Amino acid sequence: MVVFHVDRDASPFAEVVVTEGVVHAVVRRSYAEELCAGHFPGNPLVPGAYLAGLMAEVAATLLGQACAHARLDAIEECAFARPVVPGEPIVVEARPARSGEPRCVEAEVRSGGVRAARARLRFGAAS
Amino acid sequence: MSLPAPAELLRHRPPAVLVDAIAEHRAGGLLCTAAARAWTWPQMLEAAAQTAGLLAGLHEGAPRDAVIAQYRDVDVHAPEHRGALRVRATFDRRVLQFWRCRFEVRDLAGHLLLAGRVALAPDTRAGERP
Repeated sequence: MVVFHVDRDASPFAEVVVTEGVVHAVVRRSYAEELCAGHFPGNPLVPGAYLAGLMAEVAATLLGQACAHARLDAIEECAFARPVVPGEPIVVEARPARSGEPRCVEAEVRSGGVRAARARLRFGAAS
Repeated sequence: MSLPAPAELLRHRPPAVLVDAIAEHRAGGLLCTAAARAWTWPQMLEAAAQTAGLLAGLHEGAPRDAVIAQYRDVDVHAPEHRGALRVRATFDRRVLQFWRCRFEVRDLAGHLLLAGRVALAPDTRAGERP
């Protein structure tokens, strides 16, 4: 198991843990609150596009163990099952795609212990 | 016919409002512009979602308090962009309560930056809002 305690000012994540080929990353609450500014006043909700971005970032960490630079080529699918609010703990996980395709990653967001979003992401080599 | 400002139709408030103006509204399609700035691909994706949300909001019978249910087949041609954007959303089809749109995000020269599909659904929390 590898645990990264990341720079609180520079990273969306408070902690990133890699164990048995799966990356678990805990989103800083203050970062989640920043993402919700104006979205929506009185009823904040983390935008789905930014959740996709967080999943891609964690997925790139997973691929980064094998190759130094991974570039997102496509979001094949990203589905949202429930709203993600900034007050609940947000955990992002990424693992290699079960299909075994190289550079394909499956990721999910868990909020309040429940899966809120899942995605299948395809990466290319950085130019 | 004058077109309303996106901020008048969206639930978003600054700094979350990413599209500035509706440039064109035709049956089943909407073109928005977004001001010059440094864009990441998640921000471009959010601008596309807002354009699709505006398209749905202008369509009778579509959810006005929509949230994103799904992105699909999103190709990231440029992970970052510096400059203004033109964002087009086109109504694809309706399945149950889901409204599906295609979108394209281009720079002012017409280069494709991001393209894909998005599904919108009513915000089930809408009734809980104060």
